[in-house]
Amino acid sequence: MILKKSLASRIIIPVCMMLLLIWIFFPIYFMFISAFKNNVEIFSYPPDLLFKPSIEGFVNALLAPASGQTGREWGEHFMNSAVLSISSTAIALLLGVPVAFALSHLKIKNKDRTAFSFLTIRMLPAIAILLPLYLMLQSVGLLSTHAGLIMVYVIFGLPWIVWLMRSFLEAIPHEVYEAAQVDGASNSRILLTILLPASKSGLLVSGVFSILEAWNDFVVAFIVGGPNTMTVPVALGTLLSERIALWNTVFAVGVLNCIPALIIMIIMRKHWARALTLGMVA
Amino acid sequence: MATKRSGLPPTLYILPAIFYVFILTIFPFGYLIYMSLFNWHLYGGVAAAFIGLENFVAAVSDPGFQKSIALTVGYGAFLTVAELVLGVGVALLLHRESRLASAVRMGMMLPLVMTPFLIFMQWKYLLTPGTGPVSYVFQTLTGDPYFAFFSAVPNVYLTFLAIDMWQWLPFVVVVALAGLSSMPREPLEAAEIDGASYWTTLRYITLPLLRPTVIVIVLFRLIDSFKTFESVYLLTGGGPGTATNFTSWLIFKTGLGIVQNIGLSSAYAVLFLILILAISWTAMFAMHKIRGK
Repeated sequence: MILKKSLASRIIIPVCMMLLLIWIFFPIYFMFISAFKNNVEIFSYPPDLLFKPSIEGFVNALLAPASGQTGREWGEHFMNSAVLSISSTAIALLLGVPVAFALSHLKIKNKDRTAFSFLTIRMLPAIAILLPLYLMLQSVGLLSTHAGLIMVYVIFGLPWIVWLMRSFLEAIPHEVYEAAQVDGASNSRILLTILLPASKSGLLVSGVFSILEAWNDFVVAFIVGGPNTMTVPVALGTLLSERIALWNTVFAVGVLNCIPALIIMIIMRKHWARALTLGMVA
Repeated sequence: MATKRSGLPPTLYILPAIFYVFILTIFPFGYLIYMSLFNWHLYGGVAAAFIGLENFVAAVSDPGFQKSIALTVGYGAFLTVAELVLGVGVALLLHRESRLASAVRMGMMLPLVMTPFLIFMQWKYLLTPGTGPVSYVFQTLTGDPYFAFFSAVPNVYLTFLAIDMWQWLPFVVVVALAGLSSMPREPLEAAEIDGASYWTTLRYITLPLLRPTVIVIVLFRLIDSFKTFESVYLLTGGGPGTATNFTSWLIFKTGLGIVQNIGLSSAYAVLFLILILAISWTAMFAMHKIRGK
């Protein structure tokens, strides 16, 4: 029995874990090394594992004038991704944090119903609602504009912010709120000066997930966006309509595109599970 | 309670957001229903004509739509069960103190932060004949230089499944791990004192305690599988034939593709949304009941 147990824990479990690591890392490994191949090397087949690293892909991505058929620079696409995700998150925070506050500490009617209607947004496939949004934005002249895209991204950021902030604000005992109220502080003051400073990591986590929602989006930007708003994923898509894909450029852009998310991941690793389920699993 | 002296009434905290959601979600949904009542083609110069429920009759009796819904739900259900079983297994494996386990736990977060579109491009590269490393491995194993990852059934489903596993198994694992570590200790300790074996404890204590977490996992994975769009756009275009004509793709293709039949596409979307709302509200209700206890 002891022998059996030690066999399992000494050999089988580590081997399984190694296999998992390999499974997770081999695609990323190939993406990473492909980003450092030159324009010729990238087409060698079988793919070389050992080669002289080159930054040609990154040069293509950052300095060459045009990406695919769009005739725009990659810097512009990165700028679009950043502007759209940050400004939509700012608006979503302004709208969503008060809701989270009301749901966690104030007396309002239909709390559960309100909370679950925000959660429902998280469930909707964007594509099903994009057709009417497309026509609505078109009729008010916001199709293919930054403003139009931001308006839509706010919707996708809201469920993260409402649910995650609610979960963080609920963790603050209600007595704290009551004590401040007894001292004569108004609701807005309690929120701004007591509750929010105490849930900074909640703001960080919910804001980050709202940003990622827009940063990683393809469908919305693809359908209601235009040449001026083209984000990195949409621009990557246009590269594929060329006959020969320069995979080193694709992956150089890809590596750069992942860096912000990677930093975020490391900062927030403690909150990960809670965030992914919008606070439903601690 | 003495006189209330706080400035804003509590409802004012939720009204702006509710109003915003109304304008950008409920209103478009109403507009979608409205659109579905017309024979409406975006281009082609034909004016939209009111035809009542004809689009819905056409949608329900359309074998293409039926097949697409069956594919979306069937694939989603299979994927959810497979990822749930495998993911909980992996979580049990990783639920221990070791440097290797924590390395795997960290690595597992990578697919979750990567842009999904990039993930699909990465797999496209890996699987492209004459370019990709995985394609090369299959060439050496099978002798076929053009191994049909995407152009044959059932290969295309297995490929989609593998890619989805790479992308989303980590989600199941991370959430299940959180569920495992937030579990009350007393029942587990009691079982240990009683001398219960690992498997007995797992079967009668750990897994039942994990039930709320499992509901969350099932809800999110099932609902998110219905969003399958980018992978179809990038990898198969709905093919081979109509093998990967997932409903999200069908709605897009019918409304904004070559046909641009707005009315029919809207009817598809309305029916699809009703299905999704029914599933997610059922799951949310179940979650709410468990939470309330």
